[in-house]
Amino acid sequence: MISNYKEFSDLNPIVIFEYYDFPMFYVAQNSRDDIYLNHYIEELEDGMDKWLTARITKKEYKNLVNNRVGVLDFLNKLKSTNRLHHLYFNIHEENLDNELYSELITSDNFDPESFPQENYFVDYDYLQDRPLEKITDDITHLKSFKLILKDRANKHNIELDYFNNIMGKLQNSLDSLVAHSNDETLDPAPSQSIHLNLVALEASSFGVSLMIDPNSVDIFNKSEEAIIEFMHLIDDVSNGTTQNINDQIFIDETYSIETIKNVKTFLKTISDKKYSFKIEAKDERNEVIKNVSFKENVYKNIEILEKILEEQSSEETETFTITGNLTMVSMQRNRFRIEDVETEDKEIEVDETISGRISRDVIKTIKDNKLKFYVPSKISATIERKTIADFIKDEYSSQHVLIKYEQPEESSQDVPMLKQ
Amino acid sequence: MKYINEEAMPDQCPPAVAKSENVKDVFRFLEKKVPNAVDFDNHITRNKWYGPESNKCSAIALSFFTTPEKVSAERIRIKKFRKASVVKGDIHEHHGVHSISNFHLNLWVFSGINLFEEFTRKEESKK
Repeated sequence: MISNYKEFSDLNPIVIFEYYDFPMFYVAQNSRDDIYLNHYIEELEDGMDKWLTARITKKEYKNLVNNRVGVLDFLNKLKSTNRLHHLYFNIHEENLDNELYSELITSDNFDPESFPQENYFVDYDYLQDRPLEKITDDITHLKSFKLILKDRANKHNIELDYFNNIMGKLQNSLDSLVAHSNDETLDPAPSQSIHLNLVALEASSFGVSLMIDPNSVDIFNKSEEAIIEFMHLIDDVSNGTTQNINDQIFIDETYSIETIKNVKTFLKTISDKKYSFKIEAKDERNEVIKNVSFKENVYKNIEILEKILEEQSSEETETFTITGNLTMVSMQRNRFRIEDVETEDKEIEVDETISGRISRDVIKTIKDNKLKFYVPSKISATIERKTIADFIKDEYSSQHVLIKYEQPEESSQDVPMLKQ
Repeated sequence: MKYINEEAMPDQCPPAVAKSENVKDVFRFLEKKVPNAVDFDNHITRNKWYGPESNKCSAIALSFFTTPEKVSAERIRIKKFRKASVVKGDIHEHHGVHSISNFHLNLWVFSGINLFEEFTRKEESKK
């Protein structure tokens, strides 16, 4: 967030939507390319100017300028996601290094009057004196793209195994982008993968021309978008723009963690053999519309993706009580299975069948007290569930341990199972 | 000095497109219910924040809206304007030079012109 007067004053406006004696509603960038939205509210009695302010993403900025989102709707979104602040600017302040007071807008300090009274689309940019109109689609029509691989010796051939490996990782990366965008569109028959046709192999360095399969049905242009977004991500990694990548994952939701994992694996495959690559996207007229590259000097930037994956990795242990039917117990292997599982704990999601390990304490208690399990029979059990999601090692598991149980003593189906 | 705050004007200010012409019916928001001299002072004179340095030329000019519809739209958009009074007046060529974009007029006032008097005199003559 903007922290002092100098930072606020040094913001460089990139668009001014409302102007009256001074810019009242504008979007500006700082020297680190962070983008801020500033919207004037009013002058308070004590000489304080009160503003609405938020750091926004490039995509949000584009959506606002291109009339894909209205001002009131956007402010409401920023407020509901705890990203909108009040900023208090003392008009008499002379020391620009002084701290600028800001506060997060919550339901306690929110004044509905500070927002526009109705939703509207920005209609003019007073900075560049231009009307602003709705632009629905800013994706250039991508027809094909070329992946040019290069090793240190610039050989004109490549190991087939390695080549297949790279293409597989590329396909995985693009597939995860398509799958993620399926979650956000209402495509009635979503395709889970991108259909690419190999058009040509080019021996100079080692180039592969690929095009989106013209026969694949893709009314939402998801394949084009996936390739462009993939190129954006490669660009961000090459340029080391961590914040932009984070924004795309956590605010704009362009990339899923799965995408980050796949792209990291793709880039690792490239860097492990000291390769570099360039991707050129072309439109229908065969003109290059975007190109990105990944070279040896930016291998270290893969760490950006690894750090994100590490931060998203988790190990969680929950303990909860369930009821169900105990259908299998193996004292030799310390295993159990409970079916028709139900829980009263609404915050816990349980599978219909839980199987896992019986804890040592339970085994000991059973042995010491010569107790027995009844199978099949009703059971009420306390389960400890350990969920591991390790995006770096690509390991995901959910382990259940039975740590306490109770069974009705009388049951028509009782079959003693505890045998030493 | 030709303009008010001319000493603070950056190069190429006012812009070449600004012209000295009569404009009938322009609207200026007021701080209080009735017009005061301070309503016709720019943010440089008032030592108030006017945006980044790149906005200095515009900040020397005074803002007006050119239609009542634009005034109404601004009331909906910005809280400061919601209940603020407005004075209506005319701009005469001897007041200064101006440029208009999207119903917003920037007026660089000539030295020696007291816009407060010019606008309020008209108000009084209307009564």
